[in-house]
Amino acid sequence: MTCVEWSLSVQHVLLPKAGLLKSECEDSIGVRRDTRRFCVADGATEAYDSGRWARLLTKHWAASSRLLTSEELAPWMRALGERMEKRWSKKSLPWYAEEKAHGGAFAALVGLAFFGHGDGGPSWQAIALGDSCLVHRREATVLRALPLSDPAAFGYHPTLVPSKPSRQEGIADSFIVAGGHAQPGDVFLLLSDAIAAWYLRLCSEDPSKLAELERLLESNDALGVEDLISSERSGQRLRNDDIAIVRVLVCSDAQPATVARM
Amino acid sequence: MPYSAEISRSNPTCFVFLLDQSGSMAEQFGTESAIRKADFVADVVNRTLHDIVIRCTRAEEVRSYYHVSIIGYGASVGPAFTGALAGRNHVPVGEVAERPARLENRTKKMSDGAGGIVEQQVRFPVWIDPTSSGGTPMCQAFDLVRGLLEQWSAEHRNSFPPTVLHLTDGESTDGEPSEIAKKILSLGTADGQVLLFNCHVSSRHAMKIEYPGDEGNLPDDFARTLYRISVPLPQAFRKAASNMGLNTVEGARGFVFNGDPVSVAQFFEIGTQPANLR
Repeated sequence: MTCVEWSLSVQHVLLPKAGLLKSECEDSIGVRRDTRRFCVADGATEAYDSGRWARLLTKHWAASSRLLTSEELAPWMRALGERMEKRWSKKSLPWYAEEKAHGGAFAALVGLAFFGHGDGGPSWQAIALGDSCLVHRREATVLRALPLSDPAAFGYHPTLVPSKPSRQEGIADSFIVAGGHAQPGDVFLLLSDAIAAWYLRLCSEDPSKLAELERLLESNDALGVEDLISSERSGQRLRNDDIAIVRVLVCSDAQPATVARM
Repeated sequence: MPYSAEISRSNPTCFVFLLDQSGSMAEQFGTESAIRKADFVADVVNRTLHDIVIRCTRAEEVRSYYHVSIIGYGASVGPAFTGALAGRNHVPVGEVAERPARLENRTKKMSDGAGGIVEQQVRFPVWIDPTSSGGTPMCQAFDLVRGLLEQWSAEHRNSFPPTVLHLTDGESTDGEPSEIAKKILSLGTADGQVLLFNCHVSSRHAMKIEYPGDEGNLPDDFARTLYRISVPLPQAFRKAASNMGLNTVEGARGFVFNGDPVSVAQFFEIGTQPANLR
């Protein structure tokens, strides 16, 4: 699917763990060309109904025109959390679901928004909590990776976005909030944790593989991306986890702008 | 590397709870405790099954990552599920979730997420009831487990190997169990041999020995027998022990001698922690 849109070329991929159904994927992607907002959420498998929580977060964050400060995030999380509570309380749940629902859902969230045009390119702002990451690359150099930049930092139960309003106290202040300017040719990647850890590790170990991934993304080669992921999982270089990737290329006006779902 | 297979619905693993239900299990658990060993063990096993179900719960579905058997031995030897699952072995955990014998109402203390504790009414499922009568036919029980695992292992060659959690309060009354236990230990999957862990509990006030790395400090032949038929804890299990504050040496066996109530609870928690759920 390709269509013309501003000066951003966007591709995104969502893959479940090997052996699971697409409907069982607990990662979620939000892509809105009209608001120039993109996000990835990764629902915590061990918690209750986290895939739904991740989808709710991405849908509403991408559709919003704000939610870039902790003051804006706190009431937003509360409202969405109450919506989840209401949904669960309306149902007669079996004992195990009822008990698990007491703990609520959790998800990592990273969001990226573009604004106006600076000198030669737009400015950007990002929010992030958990271990889903934003990587800002210019040519072969990673300018910024957040909230984690060290591949060894993954796997340590980071603070996530809880659905239970009673657990949300102070969470908004824990979000990393960042921003900057982009130039034509810059690439922004939003990645859920397993693929983020893989990407950051290969920056030093095997950059050619990263180039291959981006080439496959840029050419909308969905099967090629799946084959690469599958091969990396088989080689135990990539953890078997859900995969969410949003790649945003900042284009000059002369370049065609696209949004592609793979 | 052994014990690294991913546990999934297509490649589930298997837990066997092997429980001594002899007459001596009706005795009090330690000198200071008013609870009977049989009551305590039944409660811990019900809690462990509860925790396993919760771990496999995704929204309203319970994914059958595990197959569960409970074997009791005492006046008789056989499956120990009560209620709808009576007589069954290798029950998929999704079915365990759906078919407890009954649901009791209990009060549970939970974090309120803001630094406080709240009491919450929860429904507590019960799958086994306390039982204590007869002798300790350990050989017969091991032989039943051997037969169960022979079949299961042949049907699940790529799975994480079965884990047997054996709890007893005394010596076998139907012979020396080592040889039959070794037959169990000869079974396994492509991912490793069967994990047989043994927990001995005592009514006496005796020094407990938890997860030893050698048999130097074991007090008698019975303790050494159980030690020798206990498998070294794989890394994920040692990590689970460490998370509970139990630091184990490399090569530590899945073995507890003269265990107290805390040891029993930890034994079942550690023993049901194979990592790598898909």
